[in-house]
Amino acid sequence: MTDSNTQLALMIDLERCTGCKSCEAACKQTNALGPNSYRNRVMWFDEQLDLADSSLARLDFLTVTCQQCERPACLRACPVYPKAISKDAITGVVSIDENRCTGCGECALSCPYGAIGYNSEKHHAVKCDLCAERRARDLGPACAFVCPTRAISYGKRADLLAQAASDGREPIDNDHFLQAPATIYLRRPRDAGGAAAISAGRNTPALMADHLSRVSLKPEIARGAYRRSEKTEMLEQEERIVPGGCHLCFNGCPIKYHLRGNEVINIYGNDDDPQFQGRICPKSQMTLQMYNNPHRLTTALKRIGKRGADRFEPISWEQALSEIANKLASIREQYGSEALAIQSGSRTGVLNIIGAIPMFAGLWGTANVAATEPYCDLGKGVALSLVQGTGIMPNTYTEDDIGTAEAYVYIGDNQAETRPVNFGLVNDWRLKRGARMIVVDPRLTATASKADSWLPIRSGTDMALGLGIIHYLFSNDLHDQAFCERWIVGWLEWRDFVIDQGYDLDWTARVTDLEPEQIEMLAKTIAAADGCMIFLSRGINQHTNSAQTNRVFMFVAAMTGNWGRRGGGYFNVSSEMNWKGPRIPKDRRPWTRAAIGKNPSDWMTAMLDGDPYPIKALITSNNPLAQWPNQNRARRAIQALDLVVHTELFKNATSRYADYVLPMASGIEKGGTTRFAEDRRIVWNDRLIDPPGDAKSDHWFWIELGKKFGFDDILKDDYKEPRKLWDEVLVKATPALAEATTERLTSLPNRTVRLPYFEAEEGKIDPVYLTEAMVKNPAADLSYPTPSGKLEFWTAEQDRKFEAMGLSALPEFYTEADQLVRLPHIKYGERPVASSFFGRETLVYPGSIVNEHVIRDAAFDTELVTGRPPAPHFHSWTHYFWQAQEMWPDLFCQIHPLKAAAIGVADGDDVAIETVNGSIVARAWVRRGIRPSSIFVPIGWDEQQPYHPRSSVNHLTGIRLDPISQQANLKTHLCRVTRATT
Amino acid sequence: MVNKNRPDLSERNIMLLLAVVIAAAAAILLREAGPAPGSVIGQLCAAAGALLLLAPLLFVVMKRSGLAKSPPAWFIGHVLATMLGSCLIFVHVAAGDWLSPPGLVLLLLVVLVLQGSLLRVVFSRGFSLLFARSGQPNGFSAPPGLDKAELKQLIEAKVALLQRLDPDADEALFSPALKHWLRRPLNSLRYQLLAEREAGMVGARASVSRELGWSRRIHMLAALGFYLGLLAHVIVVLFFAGYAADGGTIGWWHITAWGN
Repeated sequence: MTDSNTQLALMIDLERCTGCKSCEAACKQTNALGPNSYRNRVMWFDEQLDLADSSLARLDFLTVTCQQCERPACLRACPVYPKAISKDAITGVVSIDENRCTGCGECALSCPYGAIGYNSEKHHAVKCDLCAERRARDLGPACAFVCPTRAISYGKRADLLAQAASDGREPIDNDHFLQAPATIYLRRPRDAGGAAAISAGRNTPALMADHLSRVSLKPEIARGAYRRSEKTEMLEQEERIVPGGCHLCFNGCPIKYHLRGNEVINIYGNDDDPQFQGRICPKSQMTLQMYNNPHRLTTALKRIGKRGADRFEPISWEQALSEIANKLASIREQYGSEALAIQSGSRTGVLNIIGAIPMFAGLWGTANVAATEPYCDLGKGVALSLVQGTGIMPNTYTEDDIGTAEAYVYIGDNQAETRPVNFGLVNDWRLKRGARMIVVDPRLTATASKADSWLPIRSGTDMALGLGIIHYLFSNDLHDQAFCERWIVGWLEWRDFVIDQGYDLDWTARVTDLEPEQIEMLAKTIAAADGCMIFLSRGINQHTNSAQTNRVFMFVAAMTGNWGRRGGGYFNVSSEMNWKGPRIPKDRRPWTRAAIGKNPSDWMTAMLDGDPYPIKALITSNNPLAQWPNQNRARRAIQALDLVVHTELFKNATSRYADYVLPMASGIEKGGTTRFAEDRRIVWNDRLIDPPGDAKSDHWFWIELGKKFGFDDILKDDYKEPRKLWDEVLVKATPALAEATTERLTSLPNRTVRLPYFEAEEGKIDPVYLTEAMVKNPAADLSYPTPSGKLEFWTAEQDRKFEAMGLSALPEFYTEADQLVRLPHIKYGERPVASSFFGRETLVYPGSIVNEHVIRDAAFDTELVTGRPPAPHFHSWTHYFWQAQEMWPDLFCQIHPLKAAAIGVADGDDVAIETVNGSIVARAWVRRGIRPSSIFVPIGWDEQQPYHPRSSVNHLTGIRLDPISQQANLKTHLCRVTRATT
Repeated sequence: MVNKNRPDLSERNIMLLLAVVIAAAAAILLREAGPAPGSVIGQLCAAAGALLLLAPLLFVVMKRSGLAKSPPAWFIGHVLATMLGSCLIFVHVAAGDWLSPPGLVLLLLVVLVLQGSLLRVVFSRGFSLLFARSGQPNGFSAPPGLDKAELKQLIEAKVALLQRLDPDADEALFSPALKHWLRRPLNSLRYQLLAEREAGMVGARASVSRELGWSRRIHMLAALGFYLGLLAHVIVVLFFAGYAADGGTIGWWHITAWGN
């Protein structure tokens, strides 16, 4: 019998686990496991499908891993003598000696927990040995080290049980087989005292259970760290550990790159970072599969067939650059320099989005330059600028700030799946402090699965919810009068308007499809909490009412005093500092016509019809032909161009339509910073490894292309060195970056600087805890960077700006035209006008609010909601990572059992989804955690992906933009769902 | 514990070997005139083939006795020897009567080669899909019908029996090895039956397809059948040569011609 004081074990907290699968990612990269070889696996469980009561909808996650049993069935089943499986008498760890294993599989058959894996390529069993190799170096198991939510802890079993007891948590008895499992599972508090088993009677989506969807993942696709033979060779080289940041999404999580020679062997979270302490999501770890990926582009390609035919020939960089330059010069001569449009995105990185591309575009003479903000968060950016005078948000994910909140309200923000690390921190604080959590979302998301209340709102009506809350708070004197009077300009105008409009609970309930009691509960919770964090994200942003809805919830936060204080505030991914464009001498800036919109969707008319003037060339990174709405129109628009240059890592749907496909470097292959995270962090990456083949950094491309036009006196060759580009261009242009020089960034163990940096001169204009600072020290004369120095919700100047776009600075409700009920929506003007919300002249279509009946096909009877897939995926990139495909392989459509039954669809069937814009096919994921009238289809798939190609959901979406922010409605459309015919 | 030098036959190599065996079999069996089974060549091939086909038996002994330093290497040995042995047996039987009783032994050999290859190349993938029982992790819930008291009794019975079988052993980690089967066969059998019952109660093999759950045991059963058949054939042709010749000429080396 192993002594419980020496028995090592994992303790898995079912309340903390969000099913992100970071532990799976850590396990495979640590233990050299390829596709379908598991030592752990996180399973999802929906509620039983045959229950009718939606209040019982729930979602749970279970990390299946070895139980390190006292009586291990696997060991007894092993026919080899001495056995290939052994149990350590002191630690109790059950491990496999692969050198003795003949691969008979008896252990896998015998384990009642299904916790023995098998390497079907090398024919031997694999199992969790609590990372024996790491333990030998005094490191714990990798799963526990990276777990973003700290759902997994590791230690001596007796200590873990004592910890659980002191936290008041109840371990689950899962010793059904009298094997005395050592792994501890902590019951969710909502199930406390119950006898409910972890997975009894629950339903795992067919998408996850079905092996067929993973057959395309052949063992040989595992490379480098994931293949034992290659890893062993890598291990012969000396290890270098270099800190940096994940460059995949906008959260910029600090990580450590473990290098051997010129190869990355592991990527883990940075435990030297005081905030994240090594927590990391699966995506960051799986970038290992980006650096050593057989699908990477390695040479410049030139189209030789028709557009879309996917026929290319390899050419040299010099030929590509010369031909592109010649074509561009010809287009400029014929149509003007603005006929070139440029799109970049997260993949290209800040050095290019803020540095090299604006420099090239400024010298060339085009304002038709966009990144991905018009699809992500421009509405929030515009709203923040109006209200607060800057795009940064004060609060930070620290225990003394967001950790002190008494309530967390998520509206259209599935943080558990989009920023698992941040949610892990919040969820931990929630549990420690007993804070309330409320989630407003059409779906029971992973975030909602942890909440005290889930409010399944009608998609696109969050603005009404905010207005209803404002009405309720004013009507019941629950607002913070002192704060309103001291810090808010225009609050009385808002109050009177909201009351006059009659946005009361009944109205709000009708519009949002929520119960009045739910709205009242939410309003009371926000008002009563001593510190309430209101998190918004794409569910709010990706609408035609984006800016207004953001302003409404900023008002909700401000009127309850949740602004500029610790533990209370408005948050929306991500922060944007007041970036300044690179300095270009005036005499080198050609005069240019106004930008055609702020959103690339606006370019389509210019591409197709030359209106208001022609766009004839596009240089783009990322994947517009999966990302832009109304893909059928987008493809016609791209086909109409004279020149399409695609700069990317992998061939994707956009590459197919390009004239030139150029291989790019990314992350540590080129160096640079992460995006600016929501809590104002920026992290530096040095260039650490060589890119594959002839791949080049994006800034290299822009500098070389610039040379063809004589721009190299400004866009200098020196700037190919990322540190120079950052320090000499970006830092010099944007004063707020002064404390983020590469010298400073690289001197820090986490390569991270939070801006504004507080050792700098304090209190200039940055609104970090400004209200708090002003309350403490009124004599300091601090103020927000708005004209009044306060938070501005209504001013005459603002009203003029809104009026120019056909709207009002007061929050008149409207939503999408595509709704199942008649609700106010935008009707657009005939001709574009210069926007009153952007500094640079930008042509946009104004709109007015109408409440007309929209005539549509009655068959479009379902609300289509789109959004991010689960945590392992991020846009197109991760679809080239085999492990992300193993975790979540196929495009899915979440659908309510009632809707599924009505159309004869079972879980896992293919469904056809059709809107007025197009149609796609996806696999049904039948679950009760979604509004019965809605379906959900995630973004990120396209037809060119290697493992599970599917048409992008943007074949279904249309082009309707927020007149204020130019944000596109990607979230709410009406559709028809049918069982797909094969 | 991992070792990059662990020997293994890749699926590709197994398929290649199988293809070679099939091609060799086709070439040998489709020839119009081959050596008679009892000819010198035929008999030499039979003897060499039979010896090679004993390698799987040796593999079982080695891996269960503790004598094998590298059981995976012995596994490879059993595959290679079987493949080569089969080719020699095909030479032996080329001109023989396949519908005679030894034809059944030949059939078992063919089944073993094909099923063994299938088991390693196709079915073994199924083992990797067993993890988390892929969607049915019922191990984390109490399985319906599992009587814990009965299970406890059964384990206690195992503990008691183990006192007689191997007093130094720990039931938690024990299963009968070759030495137990040789020294105390009855107790080993009793213990094995109890272990099988326990495995059945906790649902081992229950959540997988029959093909996957039982294929290894079917392979072993077929191998047992093959060895018994081979033994019978050897005894008949060596000692009952007259019976085997069935009134014809005894054209092979034999010891006695009983059964004439």
